[in-house]
Amino acid sequence: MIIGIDVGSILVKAIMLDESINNTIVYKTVAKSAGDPEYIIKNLINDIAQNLKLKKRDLNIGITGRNSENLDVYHKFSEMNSLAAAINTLHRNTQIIVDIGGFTNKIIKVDDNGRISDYLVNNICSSGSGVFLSLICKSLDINISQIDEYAFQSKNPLQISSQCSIFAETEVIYLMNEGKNLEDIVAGACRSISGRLMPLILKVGLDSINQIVLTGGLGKSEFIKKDLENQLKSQITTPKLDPLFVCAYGCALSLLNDSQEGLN
Amino acid sequence: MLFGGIDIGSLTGKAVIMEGDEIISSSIILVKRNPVLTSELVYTEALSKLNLTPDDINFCVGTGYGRERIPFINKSLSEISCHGKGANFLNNDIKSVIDVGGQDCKVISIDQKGELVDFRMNEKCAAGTGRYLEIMADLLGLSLTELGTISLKSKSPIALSSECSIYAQSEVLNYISRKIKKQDIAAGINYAMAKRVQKMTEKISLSPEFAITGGVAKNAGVVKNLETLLNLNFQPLSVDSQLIGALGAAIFAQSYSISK
Repeated sequence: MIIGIDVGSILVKAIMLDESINNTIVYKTVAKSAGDPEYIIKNLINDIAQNLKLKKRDLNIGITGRNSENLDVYHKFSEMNSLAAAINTLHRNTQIIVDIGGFTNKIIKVDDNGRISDYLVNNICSSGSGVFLSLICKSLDINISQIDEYAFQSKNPLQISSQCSIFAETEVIYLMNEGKNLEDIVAGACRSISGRLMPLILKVGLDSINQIVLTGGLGKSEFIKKDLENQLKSQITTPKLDPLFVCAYGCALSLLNDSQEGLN
Repeated sequence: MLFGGIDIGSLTGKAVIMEGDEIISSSIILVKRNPVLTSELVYTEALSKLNLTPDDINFCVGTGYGRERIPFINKSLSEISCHGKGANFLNNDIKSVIDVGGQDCKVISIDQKGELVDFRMNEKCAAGTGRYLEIMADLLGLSLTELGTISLKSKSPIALSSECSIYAQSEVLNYISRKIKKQDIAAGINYAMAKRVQKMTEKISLSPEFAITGGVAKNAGVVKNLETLLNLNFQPLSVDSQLIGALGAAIFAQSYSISK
C-alpha cells in the first residue's frame, strides 16, 4: 500500500493507493493539524493499520506539505511536485494549477510534458487562503462547508476591506452588528479569496488556451470557482478527485514512481 | 477653564480633562459596541470623578476611530496629530513618537511645538500592532503586561520565522506543544514585535529623541527590544502611555478655544 500524507497548516490529508489493484485509491482520511506533526502522522498510520487490518511494514509512506519540514524519517516530496504529479495523472493537458491552501496559495504553470515551467507562491501573508475564510466563518458561526450555500443566495456581495485575515475577522463582526446580511458577507469573503488569487494568476500568465484546475480545500467551492471564471473569462476544471486530497494523491504517485524506478 | 480630550481606540477609549496645564482627571475603559457609546461612557467617567458635567467643559476635542460621530465634541482631529502633541507637551525634547495601537502602528515626526512633520502608519497588517501581542498573550495564557515582564527572564528566546500573525501563531502553538519555556516564547514574540515596529521607523526621517505611546509601551519586553534595535533610550513620559492621544486632544482643545 502506498500512502501519501499532505501535512498542511490546518489539515493533514492522507490517501492510500493499492498497487495490487492498479493503484486505485482505497482510503482517504483527514485530521486536524494541531500539535506535533510527527505525533499526528504516527497516529494516522496507526489508525489506518488498525482500521484496515494492515501491517505497518506493508505501508509505504510519502510525506509532503507545509508542515512536513522536520519529518526526515519518511520519503519527502515537495508540494509543487506532488501537485504537478497528481494533475498530470488526473487531468493531463492542464496548464495552470491554482492551489488554495490553508495558509498559502500556489499558482503552478505546467508544460506539455506535465513538468513545472513556472510558479508563484504567496507564503508571506495568509490573506486569500483557507484560514481567511475559516476565521470569517467562525465569526459568523457557520461551517466553512456551508459557504456556497450562503454565497449563492447573495444578491449584493459586500466588500471586505481588510486584507489581513485577523482584521477581516473583526470587520465581519462589525458588519454583522451593522445588520448586514450573512449571505452578502460570505459572498464578499469568497470574493476576497478570488480577488487575492487573480493578480497571482495573471502574473504567472495565461496563454490563449488554458486548462485551469483548482486544488486545495477551497477548490471545492463552486462560488469561488465561478467568480474566478468570470474574472479570468476562462473555464476552470474541478478535479475528478476531491481537491483537498490532490496534493496527498500526487505525493503517493510520486512515491510510487520512485519505488518503481528503484525496482528498475 | 476646563478642556476635554477623547481618544477612541480599537481596544480602549480614553478621556482626559485639563485645567490650564494640569491634568485634573482621566479615564480608560474597554471599548463598547460603538464609538459613540464608548466616548460617552469614558467622558462621563472622567467627569464624574470631579463631580463635573459636560457643560463644565469649555471645549472638547475627539480623536481616534469614529471621532466624527462623537456628538458632544467641538472638533475632531487625527490621532497622529494628537499623539504628537501630547508627547511633546509632556517632554519638549521629544521629536519622534512611536504609537502602537490596538489595530495599527504609527511612527510620527514632530517639531519643537509638537506639530506634525511626517508620519507612517500601518493599519493593514496585524503584525506589529497591539492585536499581535493580544493574540500571542492569549495563547500563552498571560496578560499583556505579563507577556512583557516574563520575557525579561529569558536566556534563550525562540526565533519566529514568519512576520504574518497567523503563521507566527502557528509557530507559537508548535513551541508550546514542545513544552518550550513560556519566557523564551514570550521573548521571541516581543522581539518579533519590536523588529516589525523598528522596520517602520526606517521609512521616514526621524530624530533620536523618541517616545513610545499606547498600550504596548507597557510591555517591558517590547520596549527593551526596541531600545536595543533603535540604539537609544525612550524619553520618559510622566503620564500613562495610553492617555497621550487624549492628552494631545485636550491640549488642542485649549488652543482651539482660544482662537474661537
